Amino acid sequence: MIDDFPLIRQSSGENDCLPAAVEAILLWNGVAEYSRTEIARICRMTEEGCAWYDAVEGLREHFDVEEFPASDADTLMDTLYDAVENDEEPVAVRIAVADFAGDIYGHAVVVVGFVNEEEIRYMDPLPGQWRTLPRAAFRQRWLQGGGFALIVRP
Amino acid sequence: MSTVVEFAQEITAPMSVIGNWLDNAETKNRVERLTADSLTDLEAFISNDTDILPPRQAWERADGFAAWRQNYAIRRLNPHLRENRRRIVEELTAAFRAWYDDKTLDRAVHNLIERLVWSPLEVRLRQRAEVLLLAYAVRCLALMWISGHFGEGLGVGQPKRTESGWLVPLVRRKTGEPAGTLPLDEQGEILVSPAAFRESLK
Repeated sequence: MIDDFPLIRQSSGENDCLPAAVEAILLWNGVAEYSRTEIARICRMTEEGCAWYDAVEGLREHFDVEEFPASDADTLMDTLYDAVENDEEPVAVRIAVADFAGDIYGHAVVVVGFVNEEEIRYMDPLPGQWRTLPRAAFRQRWLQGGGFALIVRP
Repeated sequence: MSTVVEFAQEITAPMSVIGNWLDNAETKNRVERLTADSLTDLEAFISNDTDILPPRQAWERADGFAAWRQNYAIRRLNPHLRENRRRIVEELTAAFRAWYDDKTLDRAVHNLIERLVWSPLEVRLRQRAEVLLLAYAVRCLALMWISGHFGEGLGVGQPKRTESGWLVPLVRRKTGEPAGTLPLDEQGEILVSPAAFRESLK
């Protein structure tokens, strides 16, 4: 479990959850010189939010970025476990979330640990708070969101 | 000759008792309620099942998601339906016993319930499951594509079936306004390029 990870809130009414997630990861790494606006520009954010492929490309130009390779669900979960529990590196992932109307969206969060190996703990930039989900529910929502995950190092 | 007639009566008399029971209003209401409950249970089961994962591999999506659907049926749907069948047969057998107390008819009652109540209901449940599963799969594929090429600002609604595939409505998160539709074929392949779709958003 990663300790002392900052709680960062995304801008109200904006789709900048991925830049907020990256900002939190950079802060945890001791890097504070990037503003949210600057990170959003690096992530090539548009009116539609951050396209994952474009954001990764942009982030690679400024940071050491490690993206999880596409693989089956179990391998992805093992890779996530290794990253946060063994290597103690926070991982930005995109999960699916539903709104009150039942529409589903992608949403970036930062995974910081596995609780008793049965629950996933993550920082959710929407409220800027900790959340946990049972392992199976997290796995499902992560894969619905594309199974995307990345590690950002300064 | 009389032995044959007696034998036939021995078989047909219980059948007619069971037939009368199945035909009475109370039994019909009970069957209707069990049917409605089964459909509701199925929808709740599938929509809350965290073991359904999107079909991410091409082989899972081939032939109208055949392998993916079959895998789900074996792992999750069939056990759910077996439990449902057990519950229905048990409840209806007990109801029959309350109406006509004759243990010797148990087997015949059980068989008739299986054939006349469960079999048609199972067909309906499997058809409904297929609709729900396909919609789930297509919706996930649309979200995965949107997630990769666009972003969190576009939401994915409920897919609609067309003659040649699917249309998935998209909405803008900020305003809730429609943002067009995403066309997919029967295998869940997106039928528009990211560039062309971006152009359509303007």
